[in-house]
Amino acid sequence: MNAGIWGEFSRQPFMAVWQILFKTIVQLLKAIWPFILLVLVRSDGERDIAGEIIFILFPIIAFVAAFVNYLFFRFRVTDEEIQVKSGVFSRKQITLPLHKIQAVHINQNWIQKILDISEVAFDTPGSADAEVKLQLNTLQAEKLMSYVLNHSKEKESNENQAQLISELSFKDLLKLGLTSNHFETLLIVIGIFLSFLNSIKDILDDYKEDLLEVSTNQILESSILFIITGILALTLLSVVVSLFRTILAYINFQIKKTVQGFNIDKGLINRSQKLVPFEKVQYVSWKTNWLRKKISMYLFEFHTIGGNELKNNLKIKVPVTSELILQKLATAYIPDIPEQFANNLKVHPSYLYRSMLFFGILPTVILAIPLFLFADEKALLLVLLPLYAFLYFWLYSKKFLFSWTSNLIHINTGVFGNRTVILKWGKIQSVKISQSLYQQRKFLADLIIHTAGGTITAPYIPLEAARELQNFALFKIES
Amino acid sequence: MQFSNPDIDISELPKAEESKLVLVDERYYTVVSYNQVLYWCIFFLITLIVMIVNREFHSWMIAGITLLGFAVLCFLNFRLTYLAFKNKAYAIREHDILYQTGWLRKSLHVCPYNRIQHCSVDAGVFERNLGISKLRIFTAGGNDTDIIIPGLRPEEAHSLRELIIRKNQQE
Repeated sequence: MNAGIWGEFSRQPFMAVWQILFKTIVQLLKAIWPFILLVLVRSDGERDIAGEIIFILFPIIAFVAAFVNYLFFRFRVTDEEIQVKSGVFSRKQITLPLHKIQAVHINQNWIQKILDISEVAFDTPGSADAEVKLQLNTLQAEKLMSYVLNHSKEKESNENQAQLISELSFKDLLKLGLTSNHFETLLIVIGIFLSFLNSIKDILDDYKEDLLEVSTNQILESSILFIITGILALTLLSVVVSLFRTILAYINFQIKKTVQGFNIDKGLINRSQKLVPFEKVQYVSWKTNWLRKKISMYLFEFHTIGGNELKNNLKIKVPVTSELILQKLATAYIPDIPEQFANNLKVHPSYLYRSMLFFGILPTVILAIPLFLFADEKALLLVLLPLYAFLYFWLYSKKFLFSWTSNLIHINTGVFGNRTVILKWGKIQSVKISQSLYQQRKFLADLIIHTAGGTITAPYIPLEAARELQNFALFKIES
Repeated sequence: MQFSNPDIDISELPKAEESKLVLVDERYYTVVSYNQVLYWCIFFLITLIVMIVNREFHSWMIAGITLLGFAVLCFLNFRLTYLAFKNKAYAIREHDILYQTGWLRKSLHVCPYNRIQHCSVDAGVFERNLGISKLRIFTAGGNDTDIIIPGLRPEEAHSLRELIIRKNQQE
């Protein structure tokens, strides 16, 4: 590929203006949609001049903003780095050395698909979102991706024979969707509904607000049958939404192993292509729940630099449909993963009691007294909190198992599901031993392992073991 | 080259917990105390204004309870800060840097030189007046993995920074 195409500072393809315009409109709409709704609701058939002016000005402002953004955004790609200049009033210049790039993503939403452009995003250490995003023709985007990856890999072999590891059939997608976390979706659905209700309430007149209050109260006071129907409807809605989300997220999913790393391709409307170089992976993990385990389904994750601060769409998650694929992915990170481990550590039983005390009993006592005094007997429902805390920490301490060999750390954890983490000693950044006063008395400690991909904690393990592990980690990093 | 893979006796490895830690300079406690006095003065003024403005506080008993609570909180905060200060210590080893901190939650953080991204020396207003600086050590592991060693003499902080950079380049 010829880097000379971008050797000089150049603009993105003109088609990018429409994508920038689309983004600007979406951002503006997100910011002012309650106002627009207010104008629509309050118009009452009469001419609202202020509203009309805003409706005319809005697209003009958006287009001017997009065009100026396009005009002042210039980039170039050299053998060493990617440089981006942007901004009108405050000029911004970003220089991204190619060797610092951790992963490259190509994303394409429906509007980009129509315009035949793609967004290339580069992950770098120390930033939660992609620092540089370029809009390019799809072909150019793919060329740039392979160019950057070839240059960031210190001239490795350019042979790029992709080996297909896994792809998802429609049946797999259905399985994945039906077994996903519907409770989480339910919370999202309720959250969206409540925030919608709140936004409406904020902008409506007192009269309409009263109306809403009345209808909300009516719903609350209506019959049990109505509530049960509501719960059933919400559950069904959650399942449908989960299924829809999963299908949208993972349709056309393919993962291939190349010389450079794993190439992940997915999406129908919003297409996304990611390349994860092997050496940039800090640790790997996979999780499953009771139902998914029955059908050998897992969600595998490559933890690259950025860790927990990474935005969700930049996290590299792979749905896995068999243990064989799981093994292939895990062994690409570290080849020898034993079935059984000679060195194992469990969480001390006092972890359960202490966590119960601090996260279950104490908050209940603190909250229950004023609620019981000033509210009513519904405050008694708080008793459920310690029960939930007990269940949560009991499951956690039961499942937690910290194992290690001289090459890797293997952690089994989880609460309502199971999660496995595998970390190479060499990927550790720093190690910390932390002890509360109680732990100091009982010779217990929390071992906190910091990696560039996130932090891993082994709580309430014997102090002696924590110290040995800390010293061993230092030996592995420093030798 | 002949490949060898001997067993490692973990108990024979150098022990971080046995390292001789150097306590942080006493002047750092003065800086902390200045900050606390400033903070508590502002907090006290706000409490006083609330008590004067709000009629519910115009009784000796409520005012007394509030002030007593204030004094207890203030004492606890000063005491805990002092205890935490007494536990702040660091050690420089050949391949890593150790930093111990905390009393309510005591921790020993070890960061190898070859994992350090960069480091800086800086000092606030009180620190500059008292002639001390703090050394900040950044790793790729995010904000909570950074080590900040306060209460160092500026020349000590700078030579430590130089040492870390040199070690980082060597390893």
